Amino acid sequence: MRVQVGISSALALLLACQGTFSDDPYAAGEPLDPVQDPDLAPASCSPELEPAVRGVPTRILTGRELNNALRELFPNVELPNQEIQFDGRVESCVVYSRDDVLEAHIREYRGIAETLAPLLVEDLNAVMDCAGASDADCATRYIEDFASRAFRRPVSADEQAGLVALYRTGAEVSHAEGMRYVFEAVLQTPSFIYVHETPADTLAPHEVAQRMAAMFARSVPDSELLAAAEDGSLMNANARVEHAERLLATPAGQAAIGAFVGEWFGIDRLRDTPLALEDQALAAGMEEETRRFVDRLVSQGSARFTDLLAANYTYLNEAMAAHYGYSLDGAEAIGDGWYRVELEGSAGLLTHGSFLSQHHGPVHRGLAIRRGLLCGDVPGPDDIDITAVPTGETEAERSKTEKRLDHPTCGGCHRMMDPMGLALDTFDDHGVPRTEDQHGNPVRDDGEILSSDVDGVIQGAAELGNRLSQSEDVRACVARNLFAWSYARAATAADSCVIERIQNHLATNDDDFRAALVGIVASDQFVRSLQPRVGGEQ
Amino acid sequence: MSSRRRFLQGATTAGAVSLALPLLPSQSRSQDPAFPLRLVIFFSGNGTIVRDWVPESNGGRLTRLSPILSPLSRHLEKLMVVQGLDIKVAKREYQPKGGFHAHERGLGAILTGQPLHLGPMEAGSGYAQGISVDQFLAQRTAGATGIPVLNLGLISRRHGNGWYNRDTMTYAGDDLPVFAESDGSKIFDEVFSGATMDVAALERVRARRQSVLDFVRADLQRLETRISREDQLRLAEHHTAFRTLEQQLSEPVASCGDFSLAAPGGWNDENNMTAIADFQIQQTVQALACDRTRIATMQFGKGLGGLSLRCIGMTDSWHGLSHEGNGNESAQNKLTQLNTYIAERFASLLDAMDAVPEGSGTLLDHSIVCWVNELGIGNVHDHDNVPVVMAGGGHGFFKTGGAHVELGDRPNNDWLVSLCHAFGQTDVTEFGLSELSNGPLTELHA
Repeated sequence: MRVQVGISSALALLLACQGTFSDDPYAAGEPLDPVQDPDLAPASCSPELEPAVRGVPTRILTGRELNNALRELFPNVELPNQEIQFDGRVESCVVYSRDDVLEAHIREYRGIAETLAPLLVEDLNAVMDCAGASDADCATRYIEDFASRAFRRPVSADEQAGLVALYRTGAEVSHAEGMRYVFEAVLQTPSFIYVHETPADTLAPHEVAQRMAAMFARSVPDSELLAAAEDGSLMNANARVEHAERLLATPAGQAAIGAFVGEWFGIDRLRDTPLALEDQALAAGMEEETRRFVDRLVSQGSARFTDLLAANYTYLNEAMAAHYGYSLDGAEAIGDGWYRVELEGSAGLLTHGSFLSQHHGPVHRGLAIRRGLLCGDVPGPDDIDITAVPTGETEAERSKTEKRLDHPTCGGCHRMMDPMGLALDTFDDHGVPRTEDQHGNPVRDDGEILSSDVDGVIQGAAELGNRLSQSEDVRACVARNLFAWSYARAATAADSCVIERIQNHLATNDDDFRAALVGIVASDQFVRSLQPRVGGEQ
Repeated sequence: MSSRRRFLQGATTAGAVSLALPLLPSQSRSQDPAFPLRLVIFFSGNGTIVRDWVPESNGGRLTRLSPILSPLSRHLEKLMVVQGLDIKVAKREYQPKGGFHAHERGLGAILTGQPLHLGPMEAGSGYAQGISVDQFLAQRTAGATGIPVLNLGLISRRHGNGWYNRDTMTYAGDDLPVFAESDGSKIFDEVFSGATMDVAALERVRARRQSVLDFVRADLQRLETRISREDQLRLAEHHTAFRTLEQQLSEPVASCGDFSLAAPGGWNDENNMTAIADFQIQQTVQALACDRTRIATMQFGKGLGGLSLRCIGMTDSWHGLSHEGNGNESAQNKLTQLNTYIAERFASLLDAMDAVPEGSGTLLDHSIVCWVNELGIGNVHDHDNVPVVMAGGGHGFFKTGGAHVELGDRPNNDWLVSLCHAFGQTDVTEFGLSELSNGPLTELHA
């Protein structure tokens, strides 16, 4: 099977559309993404020539990582979910922390530590087992274990002494106050909140554990990973594969895959939409539909992006079936009042309410596909007179789209979006199938995919999803997103060989992205690192 | 195995929380005849509807306010309406080549006069290349008040959007965004810090924070020896955070007298917008009145704020409406309604400021209060003719009395210079991008 080089096809898609029609809309385009420097791209990719992957820059934990880490560190305590306001997105999709730290981040983490510490000392028996030991001895012992789990590495003598001293200061008031000092410090200290790697040609075993915990659980390493780091076995590719597969089988691992899909499709943004404010129950139902769909795919041993785009079924409960107007007759019950419903004409996540209710109209739906699935972008309509195309208040979207496509200034960009979005025009703003729009205009679902490797006229959501699921461009885009997920940063041209390898893993593993993730850690490249030297020496 | 324990989240964000302050002697400014000059910059986004914004005037004097500006009629004597101010630096030719959109270019430039950087994380995520005027003046007047500058938001951040540069117009310096705080009770605690706590309890909190700070600082120093120079720079702001905290820990407890406010239910709920605005306005005015700060910004939504102002029965997305063409009469009317609602909030800010007597005048007379936008005409997404209203005059520095000034295509850089001059910073001859600066906008000066 022919596999295109990932970066070149992805790069082509990053070129901006032009305002005017030409045979090749990208011909004179400007790259939108400044990090895409083609000069950095190796001429060809082979295991010998393949450069080490640039290291992961020091970054702050994301909200998801923090909450998962809190569960890992305090398994017997249910703490309130903490929100991190400053999380951003890599490749527009995968949630990651901004690459430099702002004062506001630090204030935010301090606030979280100050909120959680008093909660943790309310019932210390749930946190630490002090049976048979004095408070002070127990604290000393606990601090070492706790800090090494929080820091994802053995604690130095300095650090241990510093934390014990903090405990003692607080313990002048009480044991609980002493522990409050410790928790307040550890939960905001750089060794906990920053993920960092020491510059070297090869990652340290604890850094490998940390990377894998982030990839497969979006958390800090569990005790097995820490043990494998401790005895050095994680430096062995087979051991890494075993741990990866072990983690993928855990609830945390399945949740992480679900999180990847959710972030990729922007399902986690649903709560910020007007719909979520208007009808919380409906928004929650949509989110649950998608969560169940992805969870079942993953737990049934398949996590193929082709299913995400082309499945002709979904999961619904009575309320959601009523929302869409679908019948549950003959549907297979899967428990908890949910059913697997076969749906002709559906297209996996593309016809879920959680997707359609976030993207209204052919422009935004097409743009979401262009960005999320084809890794392309379209510049905003600024400095362009968008009133150039007169449209009426009750005009059908299809008619507006036709005018935009015909317009010399507007058409160049809109052809990147609207024709794909039109294939979803028979679904309303809440994902409900419709035959006419809110103004009574009849709607149709014929559309077209342009500027991709699967160009052509399409009819309806199912054909759109099917066609995209066979696209090498989409596969390359999935590979880019998996890269961003795994390495916690956007890809650069220098990463093209790794991305190509991920793309190959997808192609040879039935497009299962769990297999692709395992493939990443199975390579010796995974523990090699290209890093600038420690401070000042470079 | 121990049973899982469930902790309930603190009640601070749920329901109405009254933040009461004990009665303490309020700082009296009445002995000081020269009341300090104050600056409040009020922002709303998505441009305006020109036909409903432009007021009628005769010989540079307003004769009739427009529909959008009509709520300001009771403050006509203390107003100036400015036209012809352009955020020129937001135009593509001054920006690095890249995927920026009009909203963030305008938002990033309105108070900085600077273009955005290209962002590293995703196309268009970069920050402005210089300091904003509020932060600049705060630095120039540092030490005068406990809080150098107060940046408040009114639902100005949303989670998970990733476009940080759409979230802020204020910058502490090149590539150093300062995000407005939308949680009014957090601001309240910061501004009127410790005033609700007894001294012993406050001392305990400070002692714990100090000990923790010492440990965390040592940890950062250890970590810095293990990471690259590039990464060290990435963490530089962590040290700034330490310094800020240390300053707060040593600051004497200040009080603004007996002052309490009922907190609205949710700081991110558009249904609450009016209550949120009232809260933020009241505490800003109180902070100015008792001289906790002299400079404040109030950011209504963010750039491209997709706010749907349900509080006035508006379920459409504001930004969505702003993309509709002129032919869509209903969208135009809704946008006018939205902008008028903002004008009402601006008017109530002026009400509150004008109600604080200072000497023979009011707080408003000793302040410069501006209402600015990121765009000019919303649906064209241009940066010309940004709607600007200025009030108070600032000890008579700027024109008031219902002045209507047509500048004719002047850059906001010059407007920023004028603001600096109003604060006596006459050494400032340019602000933001050099090539766009020509000196102060004397047409606006009284």
